[in-house]
Amino acid sequence: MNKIWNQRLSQYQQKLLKYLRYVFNDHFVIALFFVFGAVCYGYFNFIDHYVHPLTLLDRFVAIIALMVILQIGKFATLLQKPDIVFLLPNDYRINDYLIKARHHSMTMTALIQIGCGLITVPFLVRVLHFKWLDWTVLLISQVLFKWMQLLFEETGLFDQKWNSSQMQLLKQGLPLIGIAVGVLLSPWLSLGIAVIGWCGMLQLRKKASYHVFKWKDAIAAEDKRVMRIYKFFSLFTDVPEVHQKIKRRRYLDWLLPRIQQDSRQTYKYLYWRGFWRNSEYSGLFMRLTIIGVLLMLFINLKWVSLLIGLLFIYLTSFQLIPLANQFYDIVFTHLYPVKPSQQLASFRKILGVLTAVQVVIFTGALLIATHSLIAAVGLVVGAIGIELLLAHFSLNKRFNKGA
Amino acid sequence: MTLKVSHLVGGYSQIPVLKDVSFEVQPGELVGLIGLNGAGKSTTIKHIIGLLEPQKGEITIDGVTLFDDPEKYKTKLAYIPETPILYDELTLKEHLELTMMAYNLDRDEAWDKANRLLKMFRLDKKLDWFPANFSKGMRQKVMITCAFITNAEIFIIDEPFYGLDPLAIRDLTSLIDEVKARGAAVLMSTHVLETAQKICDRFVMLNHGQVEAQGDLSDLQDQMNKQNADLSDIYLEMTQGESANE
Repeated sequence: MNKIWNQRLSQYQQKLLKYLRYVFNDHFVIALFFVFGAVCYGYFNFIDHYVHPLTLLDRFVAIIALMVILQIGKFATLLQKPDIVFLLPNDYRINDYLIKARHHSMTMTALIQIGCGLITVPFLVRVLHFKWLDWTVLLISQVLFKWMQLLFEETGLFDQKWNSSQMQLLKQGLPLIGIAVGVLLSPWLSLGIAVIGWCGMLQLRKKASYHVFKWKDAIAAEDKRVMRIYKFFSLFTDVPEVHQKIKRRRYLDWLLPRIQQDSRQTYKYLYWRGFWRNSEYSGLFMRLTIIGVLLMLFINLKWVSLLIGLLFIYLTSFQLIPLANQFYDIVFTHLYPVKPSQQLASFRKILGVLTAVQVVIFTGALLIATHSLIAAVGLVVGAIGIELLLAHFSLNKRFNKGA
Repeated sequence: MTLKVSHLVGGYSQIPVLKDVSFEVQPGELVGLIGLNGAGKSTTIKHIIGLLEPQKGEITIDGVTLFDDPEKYKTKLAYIPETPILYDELTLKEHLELTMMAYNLDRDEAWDKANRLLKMFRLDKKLDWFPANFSKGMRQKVMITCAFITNAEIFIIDEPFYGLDPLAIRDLTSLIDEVKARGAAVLMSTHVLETAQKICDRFVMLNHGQVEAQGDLSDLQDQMNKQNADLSDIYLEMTQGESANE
């Protein structure tokens, strides 16, 4: 079982590494650099100018932030579907396997909790006037609460009682009380609650081994966990494990072009439906537009906001280009008596309309944030430049490759 | 309308799968393209519908090749693939509308045809569904509907008998008869020799990328010197005789 675990772990890590490499491709790293810098700047700026006297709301924000962070990470068993057949004979040794899995999950979640927890530290120190010992203790109890939650999940793999909603309430409620006490009264109290919770769970977990290991539930839970990670990756890159989600979205029908007695409009009809119903494209557009607007409003610096606006316009258009070849695998696309040049023209028009919408939204955000007419004009001019360059280089190249 | 394949050499790579294939499909005629797996049926069809480019030889529809006038060539062609792959993003109704747009069909006329076909295939209640989630047979019915609402004059049907229920096979046969009656030419590839024998007017027997024999059943019987043999006997004889020669 130990061997199996080690093998699984290296497989899993290799896969994650592979996707991470795709996620952090050149374009994205540049974007991330900017965004990260801008967000840091915005965050510290925000905290520096935070002059209100300490209110209950501030403490409340801190509690919510820590609770949200606590939700990151789940117990990873790395079990796979065929295991229910192939590992069933080794059922009695599953505990050895799970201890390995537990240690792995503990390390990973501790790193994640501390890493994300550190984000709240400037807020805790500046606004809530925490001393360094205070926040260190609070973060340690945060990690212990996470470990306790992991034990909840592990125990649930044996005893289904632990998956009931009462138990879920306890799983979230105890850390909530602990963190609230830690923020409102003293981090040391929080640590006390966390230690009691964790030790208690360790005892209860031992008892649960008398139950049968629930293979089906464990595999389903693991599948769900991995899917969540893949879905996150699929925001940035193509993950074969995640299928494209197509939704009917009847409420968007008014945006779709109607049938026309004009074969030149064939691909307009097809592309718009492809765009709105395939979450990969419409979701990407929405996500990047919203993030762009938020960043521009938040950062509030004329030229940086302008650059971020242009960057997001470029990223959106660039990542929408694969829509041009979305229907390549469907034989009809090649059979319709419609010229490929008309297909390209339709796609260009659609990309143009989408960019125009984005430019209008971004310009609005930029004007609200900076009141700078020059920056707004710069955004429009820059966007037109970007589109021309993309149309000239990327789009023609891609399309010819596909057609 | 005549589909004419002459001296076609072609395939996916430099090594040709098809070696000098020639045959014709005349107006009002249903020709069966018969061959084992890997004989070159699908490759031939891919060349005809324009997914592959001939290395030698040419394919014409009434004298026009795909390269002379792609729009004219493609307008005259309707294709029903073996594997029904549809647009994930379109509803059944939108598939039909897209076909109408692409082929510039008169909408009222096309919807009249479509409604009749949808009823025939019991799809009329599913207009607003995504056919990508239908069963294989149902998806194939969607493709048949899309193909038969066009005014195509050459129909290419790739292995239609797997996945369709007997009722649908009968309906498809009668649809083929209808388009034949208005002068369309139909080419159908299949392994189901029994059905092929019943409905096809002529046969083109492919083997190892070459036309082994062609003609109607009595022509083939004459060639094999077997007067009462049926299509599968002839075909098996032909392929076995060939392996004996090797």
